[in-house]
Amino acid sequence: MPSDPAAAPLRNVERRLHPLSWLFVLLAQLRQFALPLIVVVFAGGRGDRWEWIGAIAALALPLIAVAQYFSYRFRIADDELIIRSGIFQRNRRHIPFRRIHNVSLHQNLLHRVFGVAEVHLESAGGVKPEAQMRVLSLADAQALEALLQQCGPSLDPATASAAEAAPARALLSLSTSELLRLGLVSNRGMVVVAAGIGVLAQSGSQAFAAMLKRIGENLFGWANGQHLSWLGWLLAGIALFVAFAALLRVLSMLLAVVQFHGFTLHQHGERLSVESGLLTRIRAHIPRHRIQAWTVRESWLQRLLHRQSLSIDSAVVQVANEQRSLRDLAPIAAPHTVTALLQRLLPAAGWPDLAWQPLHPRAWRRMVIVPSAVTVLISAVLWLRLGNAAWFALLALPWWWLRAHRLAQFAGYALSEQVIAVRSGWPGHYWRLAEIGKLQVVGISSTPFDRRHGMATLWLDTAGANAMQPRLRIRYLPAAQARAVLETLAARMPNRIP
Amino acid sequence: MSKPITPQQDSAANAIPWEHLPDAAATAATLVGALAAFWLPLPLHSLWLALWDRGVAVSLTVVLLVLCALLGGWCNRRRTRRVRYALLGDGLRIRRGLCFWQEIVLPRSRVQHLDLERGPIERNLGLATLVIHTAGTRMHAVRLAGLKEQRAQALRDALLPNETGARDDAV
Repeated sequence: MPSDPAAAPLRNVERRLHPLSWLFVLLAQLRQFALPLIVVVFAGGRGDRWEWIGAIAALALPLIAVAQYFSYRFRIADDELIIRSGIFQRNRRHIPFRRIHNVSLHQNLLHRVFGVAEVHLESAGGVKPEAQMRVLSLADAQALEALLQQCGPSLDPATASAAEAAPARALLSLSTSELLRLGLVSNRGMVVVAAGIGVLAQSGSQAFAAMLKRIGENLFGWANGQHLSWLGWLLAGIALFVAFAALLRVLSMLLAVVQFHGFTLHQHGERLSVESGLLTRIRAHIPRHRIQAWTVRESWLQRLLHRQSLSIDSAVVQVANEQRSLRDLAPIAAPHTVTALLQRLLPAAGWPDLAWQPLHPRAWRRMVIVPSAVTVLISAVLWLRLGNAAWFALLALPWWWLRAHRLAQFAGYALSEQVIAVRSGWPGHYWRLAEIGKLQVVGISSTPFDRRHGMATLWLDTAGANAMQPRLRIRYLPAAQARAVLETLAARMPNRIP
Repeated sequence: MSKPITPQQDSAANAIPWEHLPDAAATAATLVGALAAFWLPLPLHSLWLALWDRGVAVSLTVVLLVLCALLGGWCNRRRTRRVRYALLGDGLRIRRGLCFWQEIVLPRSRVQHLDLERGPIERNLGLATLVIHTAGTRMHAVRLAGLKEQRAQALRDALLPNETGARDDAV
């Protein structure tokens, strides 16, 4: 782009990464090999052999890192990025700009000290980023980012210059109080504690088990010393539980602040970009047309605080515990903000006034049967073990009945000219929206139970739907209606939205 | 190939020219089903050995092996008999299922790439499996087994994405 002075020197010149990149490659390698190395050094045994292996590995890693720096070159051609890499086996990789779905810049504390950034370029489907540039100087990284932003796939020169002219528009930014709310309603703390316990338990160290045992003994010893009645025990148990839950919530809040500090969502022409992070700053971009599906969530805690969240699916495969690309458009926001965002970004949906269609009138009966049967079964098993006290478990039955009624009342779908939306969930609600042009495969299925009631399930498959998101499907629809929707979708799907 | 119209057939979809799999596909499915299921009672053999003496245990296991093979073959045969597909102007429809019915619509514009697979059983019977890859998540690879080889190739050619190369990756 001749109009961009920063990007101009990058073009058609073969370049290397930042001279300090070996340091960051080495650190990444160390993080990967840390556990095996520690095991080798400490647990490997006495023999000279293990120390030798450790020493050789410790020497080899920096050498490999430096060799990687010298062997990695990249060049920006007219419409593609060419990367040459590899020490013994030389690779040459051409990445057309139109294949790049996501560009993200990562900057942790050390990166910021040295004024560098890690750049990830992601395409659809791949588990690993298409290119992972570890590391570029901040100026280079930003120039590359700007260049890729201009080379969007569907942008002809006219719209590209229009997009350039359009200033970045801030759609959302989150204050710290919002982040504290986000921490309050999320389970991040629980996830971290569970992961921590998992790691400690797996590391096989006796210290952890011993510590737990000591804490337990102390608590019980103290409690026994107080000569508590059963009521006292109950209260103590509740107090302990509340204290633990409060601790988890505080941890959640801390994590939310660390992850989302200074969260901003910008729209720059046809691109969306998100920037966030306290320690590791991440800036990610996604073109609007790469968004595959939308999810609005409102858990019951969020509803109490009058908040919702908006996230998107991109076709980039997300590795479970690695927050790589853009996923949350609004981690937490007031419902009217989410509405405004959706109206702006997905005007075809007609959010929030969609023509919601209900499920089959007997859907609640199907919803109540499975949990009730499981509850009765569990009660029966508990009764064999504990006697009559087990029948308290049956108190769950009215809850299942209520849940099924509320769920069947709320769940439904809405089909507009270009968008299909599904809503479900109780007590927490969720809405999933997908453009019909982004649906990949649609289908209906029915089980024998479905057929007895004249019901069917409608399946909608999109790219990049991850396991954590609720599925795009509508269960317990009247069979004729499911078929009608299938035929409508089948007729509209081949016509892509330009 | 002439099958009675099943209750799955309904008025809305009567216009669709459904095709069935050839008779050879049922043979292949019987063999595949038998091979997939016959070993299931093997782990129980040690239990029979503990309960009865050797001769009884061995004969019981053999009987169970044969039963499982027959059952697996019969089930898979019936399932294959129920498969029907239709190549329409804008894509492929597949309908299948004995007990759990399923019908999918796969527009041609969503096909990423296509594979033809031929296992040893299918090769001997002149059959092939068409695997249709899409960018979807759950249904990223849709398999249609037991097609006649020419029919599979014709389907593949008909479903090949028409714009090649210049297009972006469709997601």
